[in-house]
Amino acid sequence: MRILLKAQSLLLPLSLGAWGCILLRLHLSGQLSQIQNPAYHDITLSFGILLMLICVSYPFFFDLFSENGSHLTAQAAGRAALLALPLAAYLLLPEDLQSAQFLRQRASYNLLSPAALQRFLPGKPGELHRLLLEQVDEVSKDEVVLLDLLELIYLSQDRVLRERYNGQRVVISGQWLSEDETHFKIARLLIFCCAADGRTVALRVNGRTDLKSDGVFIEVTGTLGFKTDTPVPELELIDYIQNNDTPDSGM
Amino acid sequence: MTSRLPEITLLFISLFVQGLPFLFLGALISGLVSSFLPIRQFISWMPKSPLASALLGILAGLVFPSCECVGLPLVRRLTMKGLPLCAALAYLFAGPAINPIALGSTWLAFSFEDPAIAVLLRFSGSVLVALILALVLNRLGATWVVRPEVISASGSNENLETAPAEAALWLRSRHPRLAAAMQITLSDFLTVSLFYIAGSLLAALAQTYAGAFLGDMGNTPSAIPLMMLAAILSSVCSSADAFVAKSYVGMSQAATFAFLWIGPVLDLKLLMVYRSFFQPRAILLLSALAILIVLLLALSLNRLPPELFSRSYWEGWN
Repeated sequence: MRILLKAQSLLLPLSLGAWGCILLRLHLSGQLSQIQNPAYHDITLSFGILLMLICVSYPFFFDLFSENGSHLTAQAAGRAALLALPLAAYLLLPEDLQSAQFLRQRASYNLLSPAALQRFLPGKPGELHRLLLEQVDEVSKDEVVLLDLLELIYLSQDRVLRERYNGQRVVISGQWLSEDETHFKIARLLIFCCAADGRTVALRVNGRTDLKSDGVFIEVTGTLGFKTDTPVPELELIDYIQNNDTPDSGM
Repeated sequence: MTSRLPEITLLFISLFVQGLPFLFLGALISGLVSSFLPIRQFISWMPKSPLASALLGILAGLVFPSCECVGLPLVRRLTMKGLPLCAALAYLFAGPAINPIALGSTWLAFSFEDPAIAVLLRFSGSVLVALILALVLNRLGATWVVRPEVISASGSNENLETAPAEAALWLRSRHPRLAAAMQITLSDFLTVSLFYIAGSLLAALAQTYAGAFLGDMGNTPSAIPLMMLAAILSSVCSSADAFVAKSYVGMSQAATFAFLWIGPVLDLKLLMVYRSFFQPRAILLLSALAILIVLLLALSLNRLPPELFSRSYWEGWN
């Protein structure tokens, strides 16, 4: 009696193994933070490990062999091609995941509400307000305060914080987007669930840089300003440096 | 096409990575529920009236935190077990929009304005859409609406013919229920994943090529149908769609809610996933009906005075 491999039975464990590898590799390489909100990273990591475990243990729980075996039919080949699509897409993923073109397409001009920002900023409600106040109270207007772009949006919507930070020298990081001769933008992509729902938040900076290519990460030093009664901040450029290391974009 | 390949692969992979664990969770719940719980007994207690069973399905959607990806494998398996179609459909269409996570994120996204009114609008509109769709499709009958393999398995002891492989003999003899649960989980996961992959690819293509229009459309007179189209093309998860809807510039209340009402019921990704459960003609009908109902709802909302949706208006009555 000949015991043969059932070719179609291999589709599932092989697919699960490949998908598990993709999830683990994305997590370990740090690319996951550019395509998924960090709140889901543990789920993705655990699920990747689970898929690998299922793949490895599959032959213990399911029969891969039978007396007759089985051949790969046309329908099964089509299924196999579809199941392999994520692997092909993963192999084609660019190094620069959040390209300038992608950021520009997803631009949002609405400020996010403080409650919505809590999804991205750590700490209990109210804690950030206290920290931002303490931070600005400890320095003079000419000393530099390090701000995240989201912290800036948050403080822009609070009248007290807006008054305290008006005229303050700050350092903010983000991706450079060209605008015109005398203005540019620094932008970050906000991901609520995954990159498909990503929205770009940007700060307009008054000043000129020698940068040529959109999307490079820069650290801008400037003077923060608010026009009367508007929460939209503007930054007067003092200096900038180009960041060679891509910062964690998992906001 | 080649120049846009990086965007397409990024969007496709992100949708795939995000949805996969939830598809598996849905398949796992369906495997465990159908193998270990006395589903038939539970089904026999369910009300016979379509309206009552649809309301029960909506109630289940309100309680269980499930997105579109979790809901479909579960509904598919429970329908195979004999769950009334009306309850299954009501849960499938309402659950993603009215579960605690979706309503919570709606509250957060609208916290700048009047979150309670926004949550109420989202809830009532989604329930209405789900109820009408469930009742109409139920009236047409399961054989017209649902795929033959789901119908043929309905009422049978188990549907294992789609299982990827036979469970090993030792597992079947020692732990038959566990073997069945594992087979159902993997089989359902594989089936729905195939459709999900195809749907994610379509959504990634649509987002890439319609991106400019999705990003900034302004509050034009045709904002309602455009926002509905944006929801269908972008295929955003219902747990985050409120934030995305709010990020569109200067949209009217009606256009924003049209986005939130249509998205959890109908998008490119779902259209493909639905194919694992519905007949193609039923998908066509439910798509047309959903678009019509949401359009009518949004146009009605547009005719109401905007101050009705502000908290201060209602506080003035106290």
